[in-house]
Parts: sequence; C-alpha cells; structure tokens
Amino acid sequence: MTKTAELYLCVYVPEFSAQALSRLRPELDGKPSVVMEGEPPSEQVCSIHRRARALGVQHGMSRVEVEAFPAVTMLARSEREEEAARTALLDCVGSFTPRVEDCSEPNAFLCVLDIVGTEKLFGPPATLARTLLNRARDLRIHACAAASGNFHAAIALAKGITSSTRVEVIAAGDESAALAPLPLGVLDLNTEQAQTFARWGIRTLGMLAALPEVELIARMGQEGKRLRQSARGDLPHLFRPAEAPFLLQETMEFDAPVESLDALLFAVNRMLEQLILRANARILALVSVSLTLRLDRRTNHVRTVRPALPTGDRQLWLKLLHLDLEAHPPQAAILAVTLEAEPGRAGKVQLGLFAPQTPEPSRLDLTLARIRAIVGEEQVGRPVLKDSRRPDAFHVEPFRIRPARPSDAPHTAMRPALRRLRPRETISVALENNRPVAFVFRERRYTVENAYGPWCGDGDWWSATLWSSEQWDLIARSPQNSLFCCCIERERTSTAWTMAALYD
Amino acid sequence: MKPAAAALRLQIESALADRIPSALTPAQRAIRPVASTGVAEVDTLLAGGLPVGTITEMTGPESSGRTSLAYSFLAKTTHAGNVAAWIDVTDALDPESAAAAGVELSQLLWVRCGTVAGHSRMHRSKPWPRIEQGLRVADLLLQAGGFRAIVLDMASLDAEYPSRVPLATWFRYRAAAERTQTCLLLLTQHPCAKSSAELLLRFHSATARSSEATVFAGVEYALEVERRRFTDTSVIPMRKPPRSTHMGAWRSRAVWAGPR
Repeated sequence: MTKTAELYLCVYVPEFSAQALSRLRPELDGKPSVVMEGEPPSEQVCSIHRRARALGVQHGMSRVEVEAFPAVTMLARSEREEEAARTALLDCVGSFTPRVEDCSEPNAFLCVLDIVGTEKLFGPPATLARTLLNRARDLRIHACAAASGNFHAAIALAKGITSSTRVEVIAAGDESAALAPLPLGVLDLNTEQAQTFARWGIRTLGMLAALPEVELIARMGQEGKRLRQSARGDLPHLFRPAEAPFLLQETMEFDAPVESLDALLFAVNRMLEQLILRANARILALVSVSLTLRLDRRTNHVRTVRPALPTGDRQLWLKLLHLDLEAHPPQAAILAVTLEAEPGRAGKVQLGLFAPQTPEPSRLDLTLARIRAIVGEEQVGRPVLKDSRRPDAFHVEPFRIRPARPSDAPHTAMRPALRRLRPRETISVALENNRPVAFVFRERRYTVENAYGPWCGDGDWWSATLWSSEQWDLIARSPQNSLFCCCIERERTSTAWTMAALYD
Repeated sequence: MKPAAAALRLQIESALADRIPSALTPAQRAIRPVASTGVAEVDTLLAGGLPVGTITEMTGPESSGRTSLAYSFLAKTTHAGNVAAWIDVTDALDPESAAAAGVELSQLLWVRCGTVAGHSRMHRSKPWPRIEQGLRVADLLLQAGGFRAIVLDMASLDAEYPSRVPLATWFRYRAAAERTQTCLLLLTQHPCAKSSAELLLRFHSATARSSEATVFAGVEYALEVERRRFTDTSVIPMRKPPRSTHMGAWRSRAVWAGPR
C-alpha cells in the first residue's frame, strides 16, 4: 500500500475573544479595546485588540491598570458570542473541505484542514489560503494560515507568523528549516518545560531540534521526544476530522440593557448580514428567522418571521423584523439577542408570458406586515368558510399567493349580496299576528312590505357554543320611499331583535 | 414606391388642409382596456366593462346593488387567476355570500378595518379612524401593485364621511392605479372622488322581485352612468349616431329561490 502525500492548512485566529466581540460591533472599528475576564472587581485582561497592544496594554492587567489608558474600551468576555463566531468560522472553512479538525485553544481559534486533492478546485495551497482568509475577513475575522505536509509543523508555523502577508507555505522536506527561527512559545509547553528550556538557554525551535534525542529523553521523558519532533517538523499525527452541523445562529450580549428598538435593530442588522453571508456561501437563502430576546426579568421574548418565499434580502428581513417587533414589543429591557435562521433554497418563480398579474411575493410580505401593523394581526388574510350552518361562520387565514390557472367563471346567476353588521345592531320590531310589519333601525322607521319567514336554525347543541335563532327576510320601505331589503334575527331564547345583514 | 406614396399623400393633405385637416391620416385612438363585470347588461352599457387602471365609483343607497355588482366583478377577476383585495371599512363583507356569487376566496385579500391592534372594535358612530385605516391600506396596496382589483368598501357609511376625504388622496390613488393597472372600485352612498374617478355609476333604488310567494326571490337593480371621463369623440361620424343609453337594469335571484 502506498502512502499518499499529506498536506495540511492551519488557520489561526489570535486574540479570538476580542475579535469575536468586535465582529458584531462596527462602532469599535479602529478603536483600541480589551476583553476582561473574571468576577468584578478582580477582572483581568484576557484578550487585546492590536491597537490596544500598541498602546502598551498587556495580558493579565487589572481593571485599574487598564483605566490608566483612557482611550481603551473595556468589554466583558462573552462565551456565547465566541461560540457563535467559532461556528461561523468552522462553517467558513468547511466550505473548502469537509475534513477539518478543530484544535482551538482558550484564547485562540485554531483549526487544521486536510487539503489533499483540493488543488484542482481552489488552486495551489497559497491561493486557497488567501481565498479562505478573504472569506474570513468578510466575517470580520482577521486570521493567518500556514500550509505544510506535517500537521504540527503547520500549527507551529501559523502561530509564529508575524509578516503582513499572513500566509506561509512550506514545501515538503523544508519543515525543519522553516521552523528553526520560531520561538519556543509556538509549541504547547507547560510552565515546567518552559523553565527548563530557559535554564538551558534554548530559545528557538532550531536550538531544540539540535539537541541530542537520547539525552533529551533521559532528562525530560517521552514529552521531550515529542517536543523535539515537533521542533523538527516530523511529529506524526492521526487526523480526526469532525464535521460541524450547519447552524445559522448569531448571539450578541449587550454591555448595558437596551430599551430602544432602534438600538436593537442596529445590532440585528449586523447579525443578519453575517447570517445571509454564510447562507449565500452555500447558495442558500433564509426561510425563517427566529429572534430570541433575553429580557431583564429573566424571561425570553421569541418572535419568528417567515415570509412567503425564502430570501437573502437583508433590508426585507430587517423591515419584517422591525414591523413584527413594533406589533409585539418586548415588555422589559433587553440583555441579549440571538438570531437563528433556517436555511433553504432561494425561491424561484417561473414567469409566464400570459400569466395573470400577481403581486411580487417579497413585496407583498412587506405590504401585509405593514397592513397588519395598521389594522391588527387577525384582520388581514383570506376568508375560509367553515363547514357549519351557523350564520357568519368563517375564519381568516394568512394570505399567500398561489399559482392559479385562469379558468372561466362558473356561470352563476346574479345573486343578491349580503352585507353583515358586526356587531349586530339591536332594532325594535312591531309584530302583527307574529309577523313583522314595521321596525326602527338607526332611528328611522321602516314599513315592511313583504316578510319571508320565520327561518329557524340551530346547531352545535352538543357543545357549549350551541346556537338557535329565528330569521326573517324583510322587504321594507324607508321614509324616503326607497327599497330596503334586510335580514333580521332573534335568538330563540330571547325577545330582542337584531339586524343581522342587509341585502345589497 | 413607398416614398412616392408618402409624397403624394403629403401633397393631397396640404391641398385640402384649409378644408379637411389631415384628410388621409387616421386620427390616433387610445385603446383603453376594460374588464368585464360579469353582468351582460352592465357590460353592454359600459361598452365592455369597467376601465382598467382607473377609479370607478359605485354610489347609491342601501339595497341598490353596489355590492352585488362588485362581487360579480371580483368573481370574473379571481377566476381569471388574478388577485383582488377588499378593504372593508365597515367590516361588512359576507364571505358566504361572496363565495355564492362565484368569488374565489383564496385569491381575495380581505382587510377588515375597525380595530386598533390589541384593542377592541371601534364604535360605529366614530368612523374616522376606520376610514383613515382604510385609506392607508388602500395606499399600501396600490403602491405594492399586482392586484388586479381593489375594492374600497365605504358603502355603509353616511355620505358626509367619505365626502370629507381630501381630493388629493383620490388624485394620488388615480395615479397609482394607472401605474399598476389596478381597477379601484369605490363603494359609497355619494360621489366623493370627483374628477379623479374615470367612471361614476349611480345605482337607483331597486325593486324587489315578487315571483315567489314564500321566499325572498331577489332584486331588480337599475343603474345610471352619471359620468365617464374619457369618451371617444375624436372621430366625427357622417351620420348622426344612435343616442347612447345611460341607464341599465338587471336582476338578481337568490340561491334558495331555485332556477326558473
């Protein structure tokens, strides 16, 4: 069996906590910031933005020490946002190869890709690495990448990158020479090992690789052998790929409770942009978006928006969420927001030359949302008749455009239309031989010319919504001698007459 | 050959210019599309149906047939695969009755005005908030486009309320309807859109049919074309044309009265 050549690409994101937080906060662009970890007041700096580092801020500084730098913004570490950023990055690298091993460290994102066989798709390793870093930059993450035939050499090289190109590629067999100038810090050393090497005067990987193997093992054990192999770039590794599930989720925790809808939407806009970007990378659109607000009262406010067709239009999503939140505002200040999106194929509409004129689905969604904001949620839709003989039995369903084939209207005779009165208005009726002869409706007296009835009906006697009524169709004359056709009704258990509907 | 014919025509026209202007050039005619109402008598009266991309006003008292004609028009429209909207200012639409008239309910967007989101229904004696809701919804639907017919139903409101809607509103609707090729039907008791309405139909008080002794059989309706904004008057006929009729009549028959 022949052994195939190995080729690994390591993607390394230093100061990951700071980058994960600034990713969704465009207001921090170009400003020095640090991330604090720990319980107040004994918080310490755990991650530093490069501008803050340039000012002299270091890891482990306390809050008081950082406050000596007035320009530096302090942020609290958010593991949820880091997890969301890690998912987004794994999703990004997963679009290049399914064989990815996540080797993340407490304050850095680190993953290694097996890129054997990707040359025909993405070009040489350097080109692939640059494309990948550009894709990560779209996610507002600055990373560096190194490619090598050895797994651990690629990691060490990626950690040691200091040049502005952010991409290093080592040819097969050159690992030892490429790793030689790197400091020992790129290896995974514990404190005791670091002190030992410092005492021996070993500062670079080249110096470590030059140590005699047997004597090193005699003093440091098998760990010494492992470190020496790492420094030479020939430590073997069993690759364990793990394919992360495709999950479109973004989380943001606010520094202070947010009460204004505009401020919330500002953050939601940025999160939507990221979600749509990730969906677009897989040629997908968003089918629905669920927005979960963590409120001050330890409750969650969840809203889901689902337009007629999947779409990747950020402005449309933002407006739909805006209108939905206006109609259903949260009842307390917001501490954190989470967006979860369901991906799906983008909607396709086959337009026909002779197809009837119908509204554009995405525009109609927006229009219906605006109308719902005006008249109420349940007041807009298409009427659906219920299978009941109860008068006015219907319910309203959400309106959806369905492709309909033109058909000839059934040849029905012209029907008199009914206009319902909701709620029914009470009228006073004069009876003669138990038949209506006149009535007063809206302070006008009408004389009945013809009365047809009584039409008795009842139903639902097996449930609490039972109904039983007596109806009359009346042809009446108004005081101005104009015709007035109506339907009046009386509950069988009551003597009060109501105007149910008018014929028009 | 063609240049010679054109030159000849120009020569003849210039010679006759003082007596017959543009003698050999047919006058341009604007073709205005119409949509059938589904009632043969009304279609004949309107020379094909309701004009598309305009405002049509249907005015008249209660029980005069405005809603019946609107249902009939919507039945034709929705069965052709088009989408229609009913903006119900007084929440009076009866879906059962509309379905009986042939309206495809799945193609009909019904907007019921009269409730403030999260609150109870508005009182009938104060219709202004409902009218305002209806006008805003009409604006949105007209701007969105794609609806073949939009009915703004204010038929149950007293005449004084729709008349106080600013004329600028109707003017805006007219422009939007023309742009999106939507038939906007106004059901009112009194004309309110003035010159913005292309067609004004006045429904007269109807007559009840008394063909059945025991059930309500139907109504005989009558309408008059009170105003039509554009009429084809560019061609002066040699003979005196037959006098066009402005009155139409048709009848409805209730489902329960059965066929006769």
